[in-house]
Amino acid sequence: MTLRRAHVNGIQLAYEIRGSGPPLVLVMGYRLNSRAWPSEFITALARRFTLVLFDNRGTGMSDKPTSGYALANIAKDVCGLLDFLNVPRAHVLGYSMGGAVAQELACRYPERVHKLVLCATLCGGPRTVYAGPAVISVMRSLVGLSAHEAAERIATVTYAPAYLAQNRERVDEQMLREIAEPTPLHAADLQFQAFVDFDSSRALPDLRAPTLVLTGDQDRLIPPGNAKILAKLIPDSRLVILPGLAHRALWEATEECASLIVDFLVEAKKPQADEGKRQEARANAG
Amino acid sequence: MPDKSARGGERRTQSHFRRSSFDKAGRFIGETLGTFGLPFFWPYASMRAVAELILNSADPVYRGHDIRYGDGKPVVLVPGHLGGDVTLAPLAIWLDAIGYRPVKAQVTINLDDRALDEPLVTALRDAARRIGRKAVMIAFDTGVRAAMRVAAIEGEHVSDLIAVGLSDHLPRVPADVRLHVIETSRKVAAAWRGDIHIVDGARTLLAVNPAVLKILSEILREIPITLLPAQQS
Repeated sequence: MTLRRAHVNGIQLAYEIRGSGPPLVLVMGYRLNSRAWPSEFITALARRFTLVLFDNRGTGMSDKPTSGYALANIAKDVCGLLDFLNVPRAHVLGYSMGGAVAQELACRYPERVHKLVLCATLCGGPRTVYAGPAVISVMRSLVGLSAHEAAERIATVTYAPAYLAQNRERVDEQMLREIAEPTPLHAADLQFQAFVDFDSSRALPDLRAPTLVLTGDQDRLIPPGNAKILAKLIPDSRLVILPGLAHRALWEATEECASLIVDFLVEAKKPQADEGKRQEARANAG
Repeated sequence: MPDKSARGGERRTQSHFRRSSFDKAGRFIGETLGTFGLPFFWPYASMRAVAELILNSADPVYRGHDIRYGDGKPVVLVPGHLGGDVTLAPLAIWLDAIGYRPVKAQVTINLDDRALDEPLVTALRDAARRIGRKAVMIAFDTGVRAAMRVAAIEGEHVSDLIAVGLSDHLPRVPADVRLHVIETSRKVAAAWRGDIHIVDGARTLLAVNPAVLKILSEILREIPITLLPAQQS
């Protein structure tokens, strides 16, 4: 993969374009860069879409400043990248923290987002279903560990135990790709802080983009209850909870997820959310 | 034949030892009175502190309510007079829960703040190098003196000093270290030249005072990350 660089929102963002078709921006999650996407997933999507892959600020080959990690600002990075690439409107897929960035993008720049796919993510705010203390402690006790040790530790809570046991080699291979350009501690900390601060619960009922909310029922990091809340708050949304999959659902069932996402993005259905649905979503937002 | 000059030296050493012991005891008593007031008021102050503790025990700040999350900064905790790592343990737990990396100063009990310098330098250097960023020191009353002395020589490892309760005879603040002050005494606050946050409550309970915790979280949140040179390259 050869990444190019664009000067966007005051920093250099590394990006790559793959495939052909309508544009689809992929926003990666906490601590990961664009090389972390499963390669089969990218291949499947690239057959139907022009993929815009990029490294979030603080990760991969993008700049790693010590400020500007608020998710609204990362959404501004994405918007700037679309400007740079002369893409007026695109589908947006966000995974985990990237899903939160995607929500910020769709809420702040609705004219830039065609359809939205939110994978294993949350909307923040008071109704968030948080991970258990054991999972939080794994995510927060990474100081002093090598990139490989940290990735191994994180894998224990992001993959389903059964998948991890049966696909050790595959997971290790994936891990090596992810840590080739490790995310510095300050960037990881600032991303985590931004994710904790994030709250789109009040803005989501006004979201116009048709949205697919996708998660695994074994997700311990961002429990599936969050996907249910998202689906309640977004007027034109479809909720899919995949059985037996954890936070890394896209990696554990790549083909199934890619197929669901492609079907959702290509279907020529008109937006369904009428004013009644919006009112209901606003009532859900409290 | 006994060496007269040696005997004279011994006498001088003994008298020096006696004088320095008296000095130490005097300073200890002075610090104790300065920190806790006259013994006559101790029963009243203790009862007030217990009442304050009970009244504040259910404060939502302890549960992180309305507290903004931290960015993982290393925070070195410096105990005040007669305090130690144990007395600052609740503060350390709270700071950890809101997203910082608290570090103990490795002080069992602070009887004389001059004894704090060495462990504090070690703790500060270790914390800053381990996390790769300049640390913040939170120091209490006489611990502020030690923190200021250490900050003066360890400027490359510390960005900010938060003084919670001031003591007298404070050394100069190094120019490259930002100083933030939280104080209960309006008298002290009025005499202080510079920004200061005034809170109500007992001086002895500042480390668990919800108003102090709230201010600490706001100050810490505003402090930008300063990477150590090795991390910037």
